Amino acid sequence: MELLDKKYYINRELSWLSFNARVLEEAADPTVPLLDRLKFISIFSSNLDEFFMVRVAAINQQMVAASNSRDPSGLTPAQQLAFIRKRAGALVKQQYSILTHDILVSLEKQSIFLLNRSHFTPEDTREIRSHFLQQIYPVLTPMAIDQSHPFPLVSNCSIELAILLKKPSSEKLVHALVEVPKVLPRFIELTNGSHGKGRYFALLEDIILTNLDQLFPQCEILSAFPFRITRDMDFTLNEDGVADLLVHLEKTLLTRKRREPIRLEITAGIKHDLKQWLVEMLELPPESLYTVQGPLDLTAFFELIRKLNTPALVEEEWAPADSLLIDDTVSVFESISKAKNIPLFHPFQSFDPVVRFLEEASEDPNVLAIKQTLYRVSGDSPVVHALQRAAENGKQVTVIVELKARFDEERNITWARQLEESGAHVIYGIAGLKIHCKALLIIRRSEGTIQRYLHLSTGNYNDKTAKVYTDISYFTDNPSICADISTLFNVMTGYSEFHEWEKIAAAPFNLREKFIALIEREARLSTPHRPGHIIAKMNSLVDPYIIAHLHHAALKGVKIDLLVRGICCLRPGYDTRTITVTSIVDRFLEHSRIFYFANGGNPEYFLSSADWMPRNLDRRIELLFPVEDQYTRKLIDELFRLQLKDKVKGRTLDKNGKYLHAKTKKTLSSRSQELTWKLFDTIAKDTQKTKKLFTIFDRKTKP
Amino acid sequence: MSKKPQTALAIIDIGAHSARMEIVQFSQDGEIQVLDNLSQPIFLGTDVFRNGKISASNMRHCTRVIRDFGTVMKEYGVEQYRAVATSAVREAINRDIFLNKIRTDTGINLTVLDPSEELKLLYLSVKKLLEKNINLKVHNAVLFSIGTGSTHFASIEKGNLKNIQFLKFGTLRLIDELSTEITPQKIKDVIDPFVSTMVDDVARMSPAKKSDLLILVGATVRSLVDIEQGKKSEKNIAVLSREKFYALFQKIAASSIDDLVKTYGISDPIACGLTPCCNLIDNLLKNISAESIIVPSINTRDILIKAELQRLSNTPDPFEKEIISSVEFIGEKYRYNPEHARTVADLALLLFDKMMDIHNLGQRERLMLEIATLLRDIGKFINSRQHHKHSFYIINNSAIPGFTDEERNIVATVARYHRKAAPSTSHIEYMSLSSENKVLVCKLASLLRLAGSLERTHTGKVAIKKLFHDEESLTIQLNGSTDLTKEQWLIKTQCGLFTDTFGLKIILNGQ
Repeated sequence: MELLDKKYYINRELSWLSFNARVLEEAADPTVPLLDRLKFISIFSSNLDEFFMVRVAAINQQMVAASNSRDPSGLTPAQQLAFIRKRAGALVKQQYSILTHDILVSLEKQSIFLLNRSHFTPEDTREIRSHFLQQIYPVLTPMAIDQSHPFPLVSNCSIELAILLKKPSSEKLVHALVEVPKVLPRFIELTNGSHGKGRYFALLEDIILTNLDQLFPQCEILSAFPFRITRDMDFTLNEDGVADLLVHLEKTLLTRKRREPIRLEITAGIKHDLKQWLVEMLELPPESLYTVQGPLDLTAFFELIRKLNTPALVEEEWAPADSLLIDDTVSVFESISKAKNIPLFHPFQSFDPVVRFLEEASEDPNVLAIKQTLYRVSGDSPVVHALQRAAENGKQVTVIVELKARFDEERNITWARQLEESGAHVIYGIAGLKIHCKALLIIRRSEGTIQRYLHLSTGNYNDKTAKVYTDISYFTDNPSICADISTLFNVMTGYSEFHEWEKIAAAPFNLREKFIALIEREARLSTPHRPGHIIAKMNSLVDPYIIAHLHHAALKGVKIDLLVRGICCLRPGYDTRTITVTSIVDRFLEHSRIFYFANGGNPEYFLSSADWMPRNLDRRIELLFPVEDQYTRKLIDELFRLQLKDKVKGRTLDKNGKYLHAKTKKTLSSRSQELTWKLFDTIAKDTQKTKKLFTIFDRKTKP
Repeated sequence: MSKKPQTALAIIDIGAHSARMEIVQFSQDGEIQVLDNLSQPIFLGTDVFRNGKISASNMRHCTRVIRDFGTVMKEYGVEQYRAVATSAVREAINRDIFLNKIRTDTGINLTVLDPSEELKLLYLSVKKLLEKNINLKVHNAVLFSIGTGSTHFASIEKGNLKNIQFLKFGTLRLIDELSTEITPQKIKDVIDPFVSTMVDDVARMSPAKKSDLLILVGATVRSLVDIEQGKKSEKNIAVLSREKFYALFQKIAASSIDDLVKTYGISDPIACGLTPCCNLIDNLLKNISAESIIVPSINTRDILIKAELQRLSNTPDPFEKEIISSVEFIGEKYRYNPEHARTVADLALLLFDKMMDIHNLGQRERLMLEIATLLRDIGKFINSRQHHKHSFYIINNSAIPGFTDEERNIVATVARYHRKAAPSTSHIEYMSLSSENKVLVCKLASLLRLAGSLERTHTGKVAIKKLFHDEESLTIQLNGSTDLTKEQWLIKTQCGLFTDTFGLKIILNGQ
């Protein structure tokens, strides 16, 4: 299919910036608890850092390689960069305004103070000096810059201090740099009591700045200020002919420090000449300079939230509910055998059964083999421990590790080595394809018969993120799906070539074709009397061909409800009125990918690891699997219903690319994540409602 | 199923162009559940069909593939497996080195599947699959199993297996043998005369012309059916009419390989093999009056699974009847005397059965004796003089379904010793046998000679009344015969081998 006219597309970078603007809206929202707002400030910064490291870097590279190329919305790389600069600049300005004029002021009302250098009392200065000498000074490495000491490599995303000083012996001015160590806490609480009641914090860079005389004795400090640079991290590994991907990746990581700088951030009000010197030294174009009205690197505010540990200032915890299909008194295997299919909606339901499933498998003498894909796992992961244990117990453990999960590479290498040492068979991905599907297959023998158990998921095997990302886990022992996943593992391990699958689809083999076929079928079956219906939930919708197919389906009358948390390049409202785009940004990161097709009255439901993005459909191993049991389908229906009418955290995209927030007093009770949590809580407690769901479950899944 | 295997079962099949493994298990009621199905492309065809041997790099590649298969076997706790190599390895000069390397490097015992065993298994599967829909007893059928590296042929007359042949034809074999750079037109130019000569030869030697049923099996044929039907066939038996076949042939001949791969979603090897396969079918249809092609859905792995199941359940070989039927076909081909051959064979089998405690041999050896007896005189087709040596040669170069090359050689050697000199250290055919097989040949040849001596008069009236032995002698009491001079003399001259083998003198008594 041909691409559509550019008016049907929204530029992906601008759409991404809109998403981050929605994150910022949460930080600005006075109905959100104070420290949660601060958390959104942090998330906004962390998102933006990644955006500069990857996307802005990629467009910069495009400028060099193909400056005339245009994206589907018709913009050249230069135009995109100009838009990004304007929009990102405005958003950051807004962010600092929210932080300093709103959140920090509100915190002060709660007796929590972030002290400025100018507010330090003599007692503070004493306390700070003592802390500096004991904790900070030993870690610092000041570097003077002159003819024999060229400008050093400055680490990506760390705060540096630029200093201009005069040596006592000569009149010569000297430039120096000091890196603010990442290993040290950024917020230091002052306890000398000179300010009275409340909690008082100083920033690490301010403490160092106050003690520069200790670093440069007898020198006169003429000026000093903190800055931070962001580098191009959009590296692609050249894997051709790389024998050992692991060694290669380790080497690549070492070179990361030397990547091109993309952005320089400095605090406002810095003397011009030292700033000018820095810009020259870094060989940066002036448009890469961003001035901020406050402290640098707001991602560190996570640390402050943790240190404050004030439950009153954060939203109450939503304790995960139990799944009634998982019986705590028997093994997870038994629960699966009994229920056949068990969904878990994280984080409304706990991730623990997944860990228990693995832990039981690692000790169960009947388990022969465990195969699993691992993408991003937490540090000290119980998943990795269970796999190690299983390997030590003599089971065939095959782990397909994606080393290239962006920014997690160093961590991944560490535990991958540990796994190998315990005897697991560790496979480091397929050259050129990122392994993004999440699958866990367990082969077990009982009474001479092989049984397979599967856990598939829309999210990573990460017990930490499972508490803050919304994902759907799915246990099943369906023999067809198990056989398909076995084949997929054989393809990923290189044991077999791809032939065909009965139930699943996988990228880069047939996932794109499958999605397109599903959309086309919906268009084909759509009649005025019974219009087709697609509901698709994902993180990002970018792929221009999928968008074209959706547009054509909409022209045939298919109703298309899209729940896209992040980037959405589809511009709704041209020629058709049947496409809606809703984005939900709330306390949990919307992460599940769910697809519904009405299929002329015989609906089909799928879960997937893939977004509708070219990289997911063409350059990654991704998985789409059907949900055939009525219980899970019912829950998905309910989830969709709640999300599509969420007016509190949901925003709808209009024809102009703007996200509209229809929050009013009347709609306050429509917050979908809260309602979902309540739904699962009710199911776990209220047997009456559960019974209703289970009747459906019993009736429809019996063969 | 009387007894199901306790663990999952793996079947590995190393062909000329692909290595495949299927892991299956059996439910209590004998249903087969496929647990895993792996395939990897390998490149033995080009090596063997062009250069006669497997190259070092392909040996390494195959070792790697089979080692990976071994890993998956472990994941399912597989303890029982059958790993076979077919066409390419079978023909490779260095096949023993190859098999040894696989065994030492992967721990997997790969064996070469004899074509006659392959055909036997195939025949049994086809018969079972067809029996519900087609009564083979009222047809004269021909069966072709078309692989990428070799093709097997069998004629089945009124339900009896007759002629079988193994052809060095494969859908990819010509491309392998010639060159990969050859153009499609050139392939067509070469294939057509080659195939037509081959089919002609087969037709002349067998009653194929009378045949009214054409049964084809093989992956390439199956994909032809799939292409014709526009989807993957789910039926066990597909039928393709003459008209449909020729329409399809035209369409395929007009398409490039790339088009075929894209349009029909088939793999490259299958796409390359479609034209040669159609060419063969075209030639077959010219020689056979069948109106349509029957394509049962069977592959090597399926039949091996069934064979393993049968072996594990210890039920008798259902194939003996078919073997004898096709041995009789060989006899007819070389104008043997069927009545006399049968009489002597029955007598030999009677002696075999009565002397179980002397020779201690089993069912399989009994069958060897029967075949050797039936075919012992076919050498006369060439010349009566030295005909035992001609029989040896003919048997060793005929296909006996379900018999390995080694077994067939034993049969041929037994037939060779049915007369004249006893085995001797100066006979190459005898000396090349293993010591175990030497003893077996002596035992069976002794029995054959004894039966021949008793039935030398070709009267068919010999009847053994009683047979008994002590430590020194075997006494045979015959019914209804008074003058045993001739038999006595024959035993004296021909049956020294018996005495040498069993340590018993033969005493013949009339009434």
